[in-house]
Amino acid sequence: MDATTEVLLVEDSDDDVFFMQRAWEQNAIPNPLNVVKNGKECLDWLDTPQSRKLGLILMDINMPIMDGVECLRHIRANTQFEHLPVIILSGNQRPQTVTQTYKIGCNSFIEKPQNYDDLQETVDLIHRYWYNNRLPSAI
Amino acid sequence: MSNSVANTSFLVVEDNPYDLHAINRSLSRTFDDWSIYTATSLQHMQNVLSNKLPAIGIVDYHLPDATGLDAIKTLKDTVGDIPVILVTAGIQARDATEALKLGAIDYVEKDHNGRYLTQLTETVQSIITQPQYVQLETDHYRELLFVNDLFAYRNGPYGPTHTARKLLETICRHFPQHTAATIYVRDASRGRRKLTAVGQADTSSLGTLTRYSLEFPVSSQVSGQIVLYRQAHTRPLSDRVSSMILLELTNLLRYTQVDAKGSTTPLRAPFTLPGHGEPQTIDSNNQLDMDLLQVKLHLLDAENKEKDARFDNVIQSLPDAFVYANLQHEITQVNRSFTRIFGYLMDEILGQNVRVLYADPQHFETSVDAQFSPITDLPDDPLTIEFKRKSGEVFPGEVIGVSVRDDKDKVLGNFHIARDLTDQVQAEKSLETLNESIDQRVEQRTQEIRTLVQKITHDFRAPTRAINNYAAFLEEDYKAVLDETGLRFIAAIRENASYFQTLVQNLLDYSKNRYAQEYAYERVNIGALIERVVARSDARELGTVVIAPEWPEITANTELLEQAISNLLDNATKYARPERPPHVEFIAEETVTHWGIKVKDNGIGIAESDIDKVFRMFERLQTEVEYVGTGIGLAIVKSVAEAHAGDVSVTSTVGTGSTFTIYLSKEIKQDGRNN
Repeated sequence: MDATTEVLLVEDSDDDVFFMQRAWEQNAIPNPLNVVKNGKECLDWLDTPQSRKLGLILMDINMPIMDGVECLRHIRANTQFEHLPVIILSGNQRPQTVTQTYKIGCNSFIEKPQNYDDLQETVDLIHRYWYNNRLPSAI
Repeated sequence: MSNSVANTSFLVVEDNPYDLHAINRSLSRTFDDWSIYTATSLQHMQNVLSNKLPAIGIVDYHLPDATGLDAIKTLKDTVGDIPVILVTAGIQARDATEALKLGAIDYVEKDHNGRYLTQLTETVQSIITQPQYVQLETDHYRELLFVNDLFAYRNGPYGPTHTARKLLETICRHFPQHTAATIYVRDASRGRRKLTAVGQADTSSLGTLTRYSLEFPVSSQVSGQIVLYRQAHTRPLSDRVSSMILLELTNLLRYTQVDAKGSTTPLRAPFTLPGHGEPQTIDSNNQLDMDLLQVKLHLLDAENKEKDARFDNVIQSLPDAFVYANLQHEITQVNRSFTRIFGYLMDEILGQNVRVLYADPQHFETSVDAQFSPITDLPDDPLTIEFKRKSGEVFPGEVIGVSVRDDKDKVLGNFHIARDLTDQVQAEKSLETLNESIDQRVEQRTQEIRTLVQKITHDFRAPTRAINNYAAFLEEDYKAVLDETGLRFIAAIRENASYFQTLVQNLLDYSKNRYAQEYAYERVNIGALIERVVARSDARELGTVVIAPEWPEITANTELLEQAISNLLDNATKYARPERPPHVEFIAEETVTHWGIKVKDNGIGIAESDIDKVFRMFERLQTEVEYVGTGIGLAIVKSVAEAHAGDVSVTSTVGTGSTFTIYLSKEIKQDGRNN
């Protein structure tokens, strides 16, 4: 992962998108943050050539049309993205959901921070951790 | 006064109303338990004697239609040799002698100052204090009167059975000295059958009995037998009485003799009486045969006639069906409720086997019949069983069996007391259905509430977060262009949003506990758990925390318990007094059934009037300005306690501090379920 590696945020809430973008800017993260509104849009986006530069997905669970769990299942079924880091950011922390999502293959399950300061800190941690993460090369 | 004479009545024959009144008053004062018959002439006396049996006669010499001597003669002829006292006024010596010859006991001269009344009562007294004499005599008179009575039945309009009963009643009425009687008719083609039995003897003191068996032929096929029981010491029936009984019996039974040609002629009296009147002594205590038992039953019946009538009425009016069946299970008696419940008419059911009332005759054999067998003083619990109505309809009910036994514990028959439980069973069923549907509805409603609460609280989180964040951005990005008032407004927005966020979070936690279906329970070391919770909190930064060194390991849900302890700890530090730092102590407590965790603080305390409010949701006792809280924390603690079959209690002194104790049941099973 380098500064040009792209990040995809899958989030239906405009507010949360805005908070994430703000935290992204304020943490001065160089990687481009792409935004789609639901799981379906996410899969469509992955079909575009832009996805070849994708290094990380941040995804909500509760979304219309296709939710995060379903979307993750499709991602993991695709050999091109089976090792792509997917971080779930959700307000839904029911133990069953957490377990289920990990079984399908999320890399991390993080509760949506309840205030902006926490979000900023979380985003910084995510970036710093995944920036140095090595992934197997896509086949 | 008491005396041994069974018959206690005077006959006073006196035509002077003043004298009659005086004599009556005098006699009734001295012999207050005697009855007095009166007559004012010879003819009147004869009328009275047609249906009265005096034991002693008192006769005036001067009667309007005769002399006293005529009266004495008539009296002795009619009644027998009873004692008679002649009352005179200036009697001739010849008449007095004549009177004594006729059998008068004594004579009393009337005077004008009433002294003769004293003499009269003294004379009566002397007569009745010779009981043997009177006893023997009155027995004799009874026989005479009995014969009279028998004649009264002759040619009466009665059938054989009724007549025989009348005959026996007559016997027993006239010979009440512990007499009991049975009449049998022996028919060569049908065997012996009891025609009827009656008696008036006191069965509890029957003692040794003399049994008189008088047999007599009625026809070539039929013979009759009359069995009389009398106490051994009573005088035997005379031949005359025996003969009369048989004569009348035969007459009244209206049997006819069938000759070889097939023509019938009425049986005529007199006839031979083979071997009658030979007394045979039996001991009633050892050797009572069935005859006597039957007689005894009847005796009891007679004694308790009135009581029985009342009892019968009660049984008739009871809502339960009463059925009496004999040893062959043939129904012989039922009450009104029976006809209502089972749908039979009286005539239809009598004589039928009692099994027809039970849905499963086999069940009857094994359960109902068996219930009668054991000898128990107390009635058994009702047996639940299915009955069958006449229509064939089977219905639920219960039955109590009561066996009727004689002195020797021999079963004579059984009462089946049946209760129709159709309505009750139906009511129970509909109640059950109702309960089930209520349970279902409660469960459904609870599910709805759970979903609703979780949805609401969850959906609240995003907008409150947004409000808080945008307010923060506003403050951050536009600080330069806002004046002090603007910044204060933003601060207020953030404060309220934060509070709302906490509230929503607490509510979510509460609903999770409150409506959780089940929890996993595991072994938990309370001390370590408390230490963990304290370490995570800022309690040690705010003040001091003391945790008792010894804690048990219990079975609990770790997550819930941590939350409860955390809430209690927050509570203990939050409501500290401004002038001193919070000091919190965790103390272990053990009761017979529960483990207790005490959390003691030195805070502001709770007023006694507020104590019962503290565990209610949204009850906040302090204004928000001083102490920040949502009022849900303690409600959560309570729900955690309840999830461990326990409770929360609090003791508090205003200004000194509060102690909260959460109790957790020792009975919680590992991995057990608990709602």
